[in-house]
Amino acid sequence: MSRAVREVVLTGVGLHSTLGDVDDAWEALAAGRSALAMTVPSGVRDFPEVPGAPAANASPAQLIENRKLVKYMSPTTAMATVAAGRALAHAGLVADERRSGLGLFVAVGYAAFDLADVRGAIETARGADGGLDLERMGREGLRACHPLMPFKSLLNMPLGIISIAYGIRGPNFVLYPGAREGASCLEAAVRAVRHGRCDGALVGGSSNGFSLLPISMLLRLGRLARSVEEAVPYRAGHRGIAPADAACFLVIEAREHAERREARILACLGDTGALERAPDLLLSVGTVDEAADRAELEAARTSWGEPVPTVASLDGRLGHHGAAALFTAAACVSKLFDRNAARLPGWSDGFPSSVLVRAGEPDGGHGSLTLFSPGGAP
Amino acid sequence: MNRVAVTGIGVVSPIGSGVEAFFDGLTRGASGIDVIGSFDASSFPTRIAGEVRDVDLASVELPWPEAEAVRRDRKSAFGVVAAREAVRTAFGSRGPTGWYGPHRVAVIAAAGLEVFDLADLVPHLSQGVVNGASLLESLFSGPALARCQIPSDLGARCIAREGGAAGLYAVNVSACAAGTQALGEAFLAIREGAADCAVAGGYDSMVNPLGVGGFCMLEALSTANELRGAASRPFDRRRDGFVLGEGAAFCVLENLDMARARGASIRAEILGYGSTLDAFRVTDPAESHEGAMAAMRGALEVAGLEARDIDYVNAHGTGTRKNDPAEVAAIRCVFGAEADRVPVSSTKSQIGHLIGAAGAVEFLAGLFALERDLLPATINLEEPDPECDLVHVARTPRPAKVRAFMSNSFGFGGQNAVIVAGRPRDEGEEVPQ
Repeated sequence: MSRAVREVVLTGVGLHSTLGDVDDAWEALAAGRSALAMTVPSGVRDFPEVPGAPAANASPAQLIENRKLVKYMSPTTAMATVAAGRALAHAGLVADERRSGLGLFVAVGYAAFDLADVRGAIETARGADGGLDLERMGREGLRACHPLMPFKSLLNMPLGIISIAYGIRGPNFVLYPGAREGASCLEAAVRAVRHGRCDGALVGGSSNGFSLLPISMLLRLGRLARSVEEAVPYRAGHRGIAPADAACFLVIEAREHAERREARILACLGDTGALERAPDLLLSVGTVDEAADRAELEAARTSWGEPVPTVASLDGRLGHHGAAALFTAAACVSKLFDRNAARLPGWSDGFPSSVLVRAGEPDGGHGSLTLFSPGGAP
Repeated sequence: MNRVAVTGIGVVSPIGSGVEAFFDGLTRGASGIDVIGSFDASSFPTRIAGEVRDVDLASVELPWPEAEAVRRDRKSAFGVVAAREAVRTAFGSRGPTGWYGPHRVAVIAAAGLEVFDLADLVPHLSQGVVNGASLLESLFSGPALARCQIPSDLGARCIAREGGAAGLYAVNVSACAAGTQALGEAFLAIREGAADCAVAGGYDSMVNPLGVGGFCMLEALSTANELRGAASRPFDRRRDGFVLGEGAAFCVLENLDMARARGASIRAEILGYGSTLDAFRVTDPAESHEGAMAAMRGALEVAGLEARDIDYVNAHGTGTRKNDPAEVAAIRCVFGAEADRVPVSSTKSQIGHLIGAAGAVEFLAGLFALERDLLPATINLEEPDPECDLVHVARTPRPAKVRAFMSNSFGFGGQNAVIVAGRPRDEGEEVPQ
């Protein structure tokens, strides 16, 4: 393995989302469809309808040989396993020997703690006053929990299970909980490949965002849109996000490694910092309101002056993918670079050669990544 | 590649909070394990843990909107306290941004599982369905983020905000390996030029009903409640599981040349880091030990060291039946004949298993050995298991000259992280005593 600083390229993408995998989601977007609807999270009554994009259950059993793993999976892990498998297949990394040296870098969203797993414990441990009786909890409640609850709750399980399912043994990292941390995760993965700690890496995020407690948290913080329309960034009246369930993974490799195995290069990856020259497109994720939209535009203006590059977001149609958001955006950029892929209505008909994907957080933190078209030079 | 110095440290632990108290606890071979006092665990199979008893969370200054949530989430508060000590010892009152641009200061923290307070949730759940109206009413009647599900990144956010750090930001949640991974990734970020300075470490507390209950369900915890401070027995024939602990540790890491240029005291140099995955089973360490071995070898390779250069290994050493022999076998394979020389101990015997914070606190135990020439002990190791045959520092600390040490962390799910640090290699370098 070379220790020189190397160029890093994107060779595989995999998505599990409300609109399906990458190809399905892109076709749906091109056809003008949206993943968003007003709905209620499962397992709750007397709760307001909120805008969001719940995804169908992921079915990892079709992708993995060790099907016993499925029982340990939370929805976050199941989605991650599916998206990771799709990305590996898309990159042509189907043989175990090609995967074992990969790095694995995963971003996970807020734990979508499944109250159903502790339902028995809660019912058993309820005291006479309706509250929690710890004495009963210890004596009887633990036995009434779902026996695999601890595995399904641990935030590192997506990483562990993906490594087991696909035989990945390289350097690793699992970050939490939002789009900015997804950017940090990607930065760590790119650096690992660039500096020769691994020849390639599977990197992605998974967020079971459309579930009760995360949604309740967003409601409490005033960051949840009240309608589908309010959730559209860069539109007048943008106020709040629409959470989605999604997982998206990328396969990144050192260019020499990808070329040696004749992999199709979907994009070249630049630095995670600001570009000296304005990109053709700034694709932002996670802006929460009009003020955040303006801040993104101002940041672009400060970085590159006028004219500000075209700024767009897919959050208003895909929903906010949380820890997976930056990866979903990068996967979509690979379609923008693909001259055979459908064009999005309302977007420029041209083919961008450089796209800055930028994930902002309500506290002002942000992370970014630049992608160049396969022929472009970072 | 840049060299990486440790210039500040801070800790909150069951055997003492603050570096001096923690080092004193290591020197005395103290145990921080006792009957759980933070909630009524009297009917739980495990009723002991390593709790932090010398930090009054009510008096910790938290000047932020989310203060109540931080205070309710013990681990985040511990993280803030430990990071403050690390930053203070490295920079005095100027803080990291007194010396470095904000975008060159990273915060890389390890954190444990979110706090799900069952007491908050019980009133809203009936026959498996949540009453949304009452849940929302409860959430809106209290401070934001302080009810039901407290995010684990609160501590890291507060640390970044307080330090003015605007560079790389990461909250690592790889469970038992997380603390070492946070330090290792911070090391790599500085080494590879992505940051000049990092506040890195970990914080965790799973000493709550769901945390203790969950590990009881896995039958991973010791149930030797009657032994109290003697219950955590890594490598001992009578070990029966690990004991949970809580706490935090943070380090300030700097580009060594830059640290020297500003006149900082260099406590140690981080020399190497390795991280691998077992890709074996969810619940068991790999039978081949390949992942653990590869992580140790990787850390040595990055450090440019060989086994003979390591004078102390701070083992992961949980005290479970399966993990200890697996780690011993991996150490024997990597160290070869040197395994009959290099002393090994597990700090978990004193403080319990701090899960996400374990690696960070145990790294400080390695620094203790480096700075004090005194090896921390595996305090309850009375009868070493024949399957755990190593040169143990059993029962009491032992004097030894340490040039470099290795600290191991192996996580549930197969994550392995190993870090190597030592005295700065330059001739004539002074290490604070």
